[in-house]
Amino acid sequence: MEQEIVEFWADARNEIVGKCIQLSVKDSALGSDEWHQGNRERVFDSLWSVLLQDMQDDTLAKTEEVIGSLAREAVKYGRDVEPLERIIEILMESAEETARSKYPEEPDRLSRITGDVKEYLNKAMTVLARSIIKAQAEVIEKQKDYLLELSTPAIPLLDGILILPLIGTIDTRRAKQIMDNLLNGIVEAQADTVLIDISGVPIVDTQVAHHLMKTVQAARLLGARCIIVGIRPEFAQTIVKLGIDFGKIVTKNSLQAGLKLAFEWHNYELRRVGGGGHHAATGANS
Amino acid sequence: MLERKSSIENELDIIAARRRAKEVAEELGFSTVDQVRIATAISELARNIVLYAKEGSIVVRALREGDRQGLEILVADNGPGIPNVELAMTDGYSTSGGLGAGLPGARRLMDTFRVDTQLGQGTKIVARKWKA
Amino acid sequence: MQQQAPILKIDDYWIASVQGSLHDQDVIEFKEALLSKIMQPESKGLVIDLTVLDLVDSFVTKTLIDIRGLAKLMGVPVVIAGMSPPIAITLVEMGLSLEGIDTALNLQKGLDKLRNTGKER
Repeated sequence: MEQEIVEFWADARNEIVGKCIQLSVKDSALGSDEWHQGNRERVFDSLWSVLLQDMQDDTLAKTEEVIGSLAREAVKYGRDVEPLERIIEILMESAEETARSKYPEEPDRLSRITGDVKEYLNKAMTVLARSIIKAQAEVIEKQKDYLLELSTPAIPLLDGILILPLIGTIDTRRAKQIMDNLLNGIVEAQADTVLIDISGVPIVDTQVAHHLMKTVQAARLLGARCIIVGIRPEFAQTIVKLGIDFGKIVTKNSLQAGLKLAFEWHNYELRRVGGGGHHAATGANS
Repeated sequence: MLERKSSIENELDIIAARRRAKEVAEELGFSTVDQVRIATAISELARNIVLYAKEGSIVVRALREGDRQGLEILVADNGPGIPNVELAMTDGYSTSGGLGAGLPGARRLMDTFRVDTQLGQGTKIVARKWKA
Repeated sequence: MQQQAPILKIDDYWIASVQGSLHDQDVIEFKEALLSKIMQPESKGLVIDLTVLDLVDSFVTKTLIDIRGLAKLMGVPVVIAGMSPPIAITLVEMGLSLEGIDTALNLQKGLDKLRNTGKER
């Protein structure tokens, strides 16, 4: 970087930061509580000093770091990112104003310096935009993981019996998540029997069938038996056509039939107690 | 960059190599399941050295490619080489009376797996695992 | 060796708990020790508890399959208990699903399983 701009920037710390604070007080975008006096000074001062260091080293590394962390923080807590743009704009305005009042008699020097300031702060603005996009992408990625976890709950039904209702498309990534969740669920609940309901999975292709097989095998290694329920006719045909060996896997056509089998394995008996249950209830309502 | 080397001469070294690999994987922030996958792959690869080449080495090191972080396993021995790699990578094929799950198993546990072998010269294997 | 894989007897059931990291030689000795125990005529079954084992590779898998095969010949049922999720996932991915071997979530459930098979016979 030109020595001229570095010198200007280094000498004008008080003027630039001072003007920034003045401008920011009047700025409606920065009107919120978190921008109280102390905070303003800290933010502008730290930006001023990283920009100075970067100008000296002719890089943008430190600026990227600071702006990146400001953007990440704003995005993480769901705050508006507009104030961050304003901060850089204010910094630019203040620096230009300072330069104008400092070199009123030297138009050439002034235009060189304001040109450099603009160039640097425009780059900083690009960095900010990129950081915001990146931070938002990170948040979306995290939410995806979170949704994946949410969407594959292993539900303890009765002592020793878990139900895993699978809903939606299963890709490799989700299949891994399902396996992890199920195996941990089995250990946590010490469940010997798992009902896997696939009636909510729209497309069951070779991949999905393969993942299902692996999940059932891994569960068995832990000591839990799986019953797959809700297999639709199309899927049954896929299995037969592809020659996948589902022979060792227990399947039932409905959740009810699966439950009945699980109860048998656990020596549970499902029995209605008292006089007529369902009929009695409707009778009372009418 | 993080890097650990183990020389493999006998079965005691197998344990040491997989312990080191697990430490590296843990330090790089791999999940518990991935740590077990990596350590198991090392166990298979190290046992192959002891069984067929008698001695060799395994290097485990950190890997970075853009935003991706991973781990690389480098296996090298000066043993007899593998006559038919394709056959050796087939499930159930074994010349040692094992399950024949060593090489094919290790390959499935890793993301990429490359075998470079020459008869009478030795074998080099490069395997990588990326963080999910 | 004895510390790494103690073999205990409860009623006429054998319980072997495999711990930590096993060398290949340890694994072979463990197998021989186990077989000599279950050869005793009063043996009713065997639970191998893997709860605290750090990993299971193809060599350990082969040993487990061998033990189970030989025990079967002697009429002694075997249950593998307490395998952890990471080990189960790793084995399945390697294509080693221990087909035909009985499993249980923990030692107690393994013993229950053996007692139940005993009743059925």
